[in-house]
Amino acid sequence: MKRTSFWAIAAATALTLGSCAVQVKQSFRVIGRDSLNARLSIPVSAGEWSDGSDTYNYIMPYETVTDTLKVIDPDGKKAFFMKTVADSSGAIHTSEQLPGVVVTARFKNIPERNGMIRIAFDVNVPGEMLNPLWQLRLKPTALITDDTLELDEVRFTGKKYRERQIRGYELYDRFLASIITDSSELVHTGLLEAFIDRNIPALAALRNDSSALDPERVKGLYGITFRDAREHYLKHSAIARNNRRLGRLPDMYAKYVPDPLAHDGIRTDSVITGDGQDIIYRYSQNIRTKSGMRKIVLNIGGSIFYDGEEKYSLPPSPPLTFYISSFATLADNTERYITTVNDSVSITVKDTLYRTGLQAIMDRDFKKAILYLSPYRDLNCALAFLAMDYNASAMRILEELPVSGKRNYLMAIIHSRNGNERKAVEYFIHSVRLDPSLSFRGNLDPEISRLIEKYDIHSSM
Amino acid sequence: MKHKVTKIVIAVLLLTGSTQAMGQKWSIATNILDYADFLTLNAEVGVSVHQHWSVSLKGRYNPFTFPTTLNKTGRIQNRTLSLSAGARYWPFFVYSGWYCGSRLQWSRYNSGGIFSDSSSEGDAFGLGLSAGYALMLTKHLNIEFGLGLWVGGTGYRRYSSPACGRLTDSGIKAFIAPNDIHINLLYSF
Repeated sequence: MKRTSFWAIAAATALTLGSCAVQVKQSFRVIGRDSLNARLSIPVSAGEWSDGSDTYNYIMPYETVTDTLKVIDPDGKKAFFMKTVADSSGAIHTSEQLPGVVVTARFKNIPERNGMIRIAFDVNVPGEMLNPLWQLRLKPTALITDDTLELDEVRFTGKKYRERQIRGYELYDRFLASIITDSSELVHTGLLEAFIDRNIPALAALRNDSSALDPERVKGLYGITFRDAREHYLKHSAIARNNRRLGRLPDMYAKYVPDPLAHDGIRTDSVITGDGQDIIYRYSQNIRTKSGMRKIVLNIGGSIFYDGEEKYSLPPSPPLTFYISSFATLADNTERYITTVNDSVSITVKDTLYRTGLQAIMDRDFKKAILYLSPYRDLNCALAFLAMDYNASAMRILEELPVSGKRNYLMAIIHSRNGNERKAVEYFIHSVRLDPSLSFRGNLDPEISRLIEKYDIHSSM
Repeated sequence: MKHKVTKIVIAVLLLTGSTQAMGQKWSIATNILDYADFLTLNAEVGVSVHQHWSVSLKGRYNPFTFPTTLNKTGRIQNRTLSLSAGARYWPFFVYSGWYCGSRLQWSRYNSGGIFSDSSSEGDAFGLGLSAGYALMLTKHLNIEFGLGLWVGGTGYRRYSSPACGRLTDSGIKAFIAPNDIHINLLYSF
């Protein structure tokens, strides 16, 4: 009876393990066949100034809604009941409500503030890509001008996959524990002590009396030394076995923990309990800006890990593009000159200090720009103050400057920051009157775009 | 003559008197298993002479005869008087661990009634080899386990019974027999 039940269990285990692998393979086939992939999307809600934490969302699949009823009336004729709408002349038309088509934007404008930009995007994962047996790894990569920046991975680990990871650690710990670290366990201490007591009495006496004698030099009967005795009483086979195990440590680690729990370089590693629902992960990242940064192209790639190895590689997804708007583009690029008088000859040269300050603005080094431009107290200087959020200093300069489109625009921004919306809108409208291109600029700066949306400014201009 | 004797005495005293200074360890031991062998009294005196060598003298004495119901004669005995002198080689250190030894042994015996009614007596002389392991228990105490065998010749007389039996056989023959199966308790000074 015992024997048959053993084979039954063995067969059942083999079947389960086999079926797991088969199921995984089938799932991969489905993913490949249906071209399933993680997608990037611009977050539907939330302004740029909402809390910086990444969040999860579940979206229910929508159902189509039909508004037409087909009915058989008492006379046996077919009648249709439907929604109608009257047009301006009074004629009645049927109206069928089409399910909303969601157009996913593939680009977004983001402002640069304080030398940083913040990109926020949603990673949409279809439920078929999540499975308790495997781990999905997604890595967004940002192409910034010519540099590629790899962002932290987002991982979704299946419950069974995580259990196996933890089990691997346990097995490795058990192996580690089998390695003897206490050297006294590698010697027959009882025998060694008896031997010393008997044959090297001078050493035995030293145990209680720590005199100046060097234990290494003490000799016993027939010149036997402590070292010889200790060497003889080592547990040589245990030592050899221990050393063998130490040698196998890296192999054992690779065997038991082929896929270690990651701590660095990942944004999150969540365990999915898997009921097949889609997942949306809100990812946000602050990036320090450099000169010449105009746009960021975001891609997401990834792979599925099963059994500790990469088993399926996801194809690249359609990219998202973020266009960076910076105060630097508002800078006034006209050259400045200074006149110096030397031996009654006046020379006009380029103002290199100013040039340096202006270049600093272009390089997004607004701190340096303030340093060089503050003596000049002009628009560019105010711009630098504004970029660093020194609003009061910027205001003081702008108030003294002659009225212009840009000057009014910057005033609008400061008032918006201070919460004075009426004045902000006023100055913005004035700036657009003087320079119509600033109307489009307003969409790029959140201080203004917020007001445009709130007061519906565009439709009234 | 007097000077010669004095020199010899001094030499012997020097060799045997001081222990630590000259590097010697004396020991006495007794074989527990021998006591199970019809209560054979035994003692062995030994001394180390080198890191790897020790020499010893052993005596065994069994004068006892026991009454028994196991045979018709009602007597059973394994009487013996034996002396042996031997040396042991210790691969690591004297009185610790493995050893092997050999010895010359003379033994006078009279045993009977053990396997049958007959008894035999005589002298045996031979060379023995043995090996074993000495386990240090404390600073002075060892317990040693070992076994050996010996070969030699014996002059024997066999009788039909342990007491007042007819002489059935006598002669001289060679033998090889297990011997010196011991569990020694040894005390070293």
